[in-house]
Amino acid sequence: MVVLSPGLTIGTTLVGCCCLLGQIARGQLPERFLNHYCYDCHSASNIEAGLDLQALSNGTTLENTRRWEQVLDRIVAGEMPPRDSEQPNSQDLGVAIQSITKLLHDWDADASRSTPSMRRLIRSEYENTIRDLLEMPGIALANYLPADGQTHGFDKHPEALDISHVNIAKYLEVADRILDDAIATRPEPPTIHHRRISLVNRGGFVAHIVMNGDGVLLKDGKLDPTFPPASEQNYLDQGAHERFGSFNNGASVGLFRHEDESVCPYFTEHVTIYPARYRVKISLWGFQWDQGKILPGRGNEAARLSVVQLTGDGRGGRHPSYVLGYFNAPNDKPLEHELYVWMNRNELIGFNAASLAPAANYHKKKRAIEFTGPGIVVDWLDVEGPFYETWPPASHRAFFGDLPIAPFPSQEPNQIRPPVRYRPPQLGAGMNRPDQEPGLWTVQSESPLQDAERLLADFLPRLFRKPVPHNVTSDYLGIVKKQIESGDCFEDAMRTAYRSSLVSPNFLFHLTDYPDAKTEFALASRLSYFLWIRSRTID
Amino acid sequence: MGNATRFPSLVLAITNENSTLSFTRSGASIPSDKSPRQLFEKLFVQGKPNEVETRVQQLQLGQSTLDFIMEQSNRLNRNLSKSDQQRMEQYQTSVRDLERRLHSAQEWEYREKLKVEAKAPEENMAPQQFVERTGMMFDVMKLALETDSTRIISLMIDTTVIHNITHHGNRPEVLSELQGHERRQFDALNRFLTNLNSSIEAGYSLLDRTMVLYGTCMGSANSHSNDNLPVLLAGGGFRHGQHLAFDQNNNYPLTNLYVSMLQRLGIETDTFSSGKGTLRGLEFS
Repeated sequence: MVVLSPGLTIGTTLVGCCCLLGQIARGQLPERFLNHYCYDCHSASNIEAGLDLQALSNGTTLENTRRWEQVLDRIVAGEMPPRDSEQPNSQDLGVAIQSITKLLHDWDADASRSTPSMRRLIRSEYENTIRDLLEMPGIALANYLPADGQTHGFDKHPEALDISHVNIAKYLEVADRILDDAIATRPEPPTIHHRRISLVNRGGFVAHIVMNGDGVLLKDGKLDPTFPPASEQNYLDQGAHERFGSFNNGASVGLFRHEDESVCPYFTEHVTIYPARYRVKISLWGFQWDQGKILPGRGNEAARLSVVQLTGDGRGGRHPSYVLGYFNAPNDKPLEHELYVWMNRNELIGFNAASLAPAANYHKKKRAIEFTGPGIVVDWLDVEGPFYETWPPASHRAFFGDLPIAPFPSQEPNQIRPPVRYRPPQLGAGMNRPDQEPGLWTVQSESPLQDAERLLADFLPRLFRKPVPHNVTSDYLGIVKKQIESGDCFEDAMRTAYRSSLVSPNFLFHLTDYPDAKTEFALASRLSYFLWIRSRTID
Repeated sequence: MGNATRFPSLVLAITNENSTLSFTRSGASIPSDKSPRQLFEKLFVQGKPNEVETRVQQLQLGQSTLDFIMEQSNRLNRNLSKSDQQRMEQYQTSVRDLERRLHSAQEWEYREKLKVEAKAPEENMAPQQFVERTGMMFDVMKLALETDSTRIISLMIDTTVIHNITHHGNRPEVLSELQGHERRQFDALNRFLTNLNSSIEAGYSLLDRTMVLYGTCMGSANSHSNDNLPVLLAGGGFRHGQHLAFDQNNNYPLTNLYVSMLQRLGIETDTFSSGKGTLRGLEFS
């Protein structure tokens, strides 16, 4: 069954296409047969069992189709016409069955061609659509939306995609999250910082397990003379080592321990503040540890890097994360890997000594000194960023075009309310710090309503993935007008309109039954979401 | 159940970290309130008028957004097929449901908070005094239940400060120190249950009308085992005064207890996670 299902879907699609190509002779109701054998009891003049076949004869609603299926079944089974009335001969019967069958097939083909059901976007479609639209290729949204259902093994089936007030509330929340991250609030991009990070950090968890024999510190490929491998006794505790600078003296970290339920190493010194692209570089190699000696390793090892989302809970790991890749740690000589990754606020880089088998020296008596096995060395991790292709970034320009960003005037004659800015809490123990706030900067517009109309007319069709009628754009313009009249600044008034667009059914649903469903837009949009789970149509 | 009270639920924790016992359906953690004093203020101290106004403005903005998208969906509806109109109806129902919730949240903002005689707890204490802090939290929780400010509370008690002695290695002196801490934890729980029992609501003690589940995530902290968890259930009108023990090697799912509790709460369900029925041996008094 599972193997067949995708085939069935494609089959249906192809049938739809064939019908578009040429008109095939349509089936007809066997009027003569019906007249002779059925209408006496089942017509407007005499409705037995509530069945008026004449009333069912036009229209192709689902309900009518179902009734004719029943009629066909009863005729085929010989239950109708009833035993005590005149029976049709086998030829008449055959013709009637054939015509009704043919008609049902035609109706079915019509239905599959003209009325694909509307359905809401699944979480990944939602996320991809926003990522593409705002050119924020890694903005994380799916996890903040309620999980989607499944039916018949499909997660895109309309029946699986119910909606409740919980969805709407979350859509509102996520809309604000998008706007917070997308809109520029400063005249210049945040300063680009370059930070070299060790896998052991002061007060960090990896330092703790290395202190307990699940790793060692190395310098120039040899044991770090200031940090003896863990044995039966700790001569210095973690605090003392921190005071001596053992964890920030440039030593490399050799780990023996694979990730497990108690150990999830993170590079904790960088916790992203500004959602943007960052250049991440790491130097890796592998070795064999033999009770205090560093020997050539068994071959290439592999380390996994991931982006980890701190969530406010979760000491000792288990935060949501996604894998960046598995990277070669060659035997005995360092190899540098460079990545260009999108990181969101409160995300950091996670590490796993992926190719190692589970091993823990933590509870053993002589810890690292009695351990023999492979290890992976992290010399350092570089994080550089944030990088933006332009300032203000593309995400901002999607909402505000090229309007200038200027200081919000502190003395306004009209008592305009300043923009409301939400600063989400900074989590984790990053050593990176935010730039000083430049003061209150916001988008300026000389003629707000004209600008609003222009911006909305540009944005809405791209968000809704189809041409937007003028009256719909005016509705949104109405919000802006009302907000500005109530004292909102331009940024907040526009925000209110954009927030509404992000929870409107035009965005949240594939509206395949809209009058333009048969246009090229609709077809392109459906194909695009079918193939790529994202919108590739408007541009 | 949340709508009937000012706070749909209280998510609390005695911890210096960001621990919580409550998660959303999709698995995101719900942040906890950690200060008994701040909880008291949230429950019983009226916000300043401008704070209330700001919150109400936000709620109203939410409502006008919902009004707007409702109009948009009506506009769309005219062009939809019957079956799609049904789907749009579900969307509209959801929007209306959320509107009602925002509306009731707004009403709560304006409604006077209840006055209680108790004073806000003072809480200048070291982390080692987590038992005292727990006791304070229990006191505020009792007030919250008594005033029907909420009907659902979760409390995470983080015992990190005594973590090292939970790995006691069966050393007698460590065991007795640990016992001392645990005895005081149970004294605090005892006070909480006694206080609930002496508060009368609609002819019943508050304890009879409240289920209190107390437990730990370790069967044995010494060996770090997550099996055979000890769990204590009080109140809720069950027949108490017994220890239900099950097969230690092939234990009965704890989630069955949760099914029993959900049913007692009036929620019609016969499953919760791996629990496919109610708990054997647990009966009403």
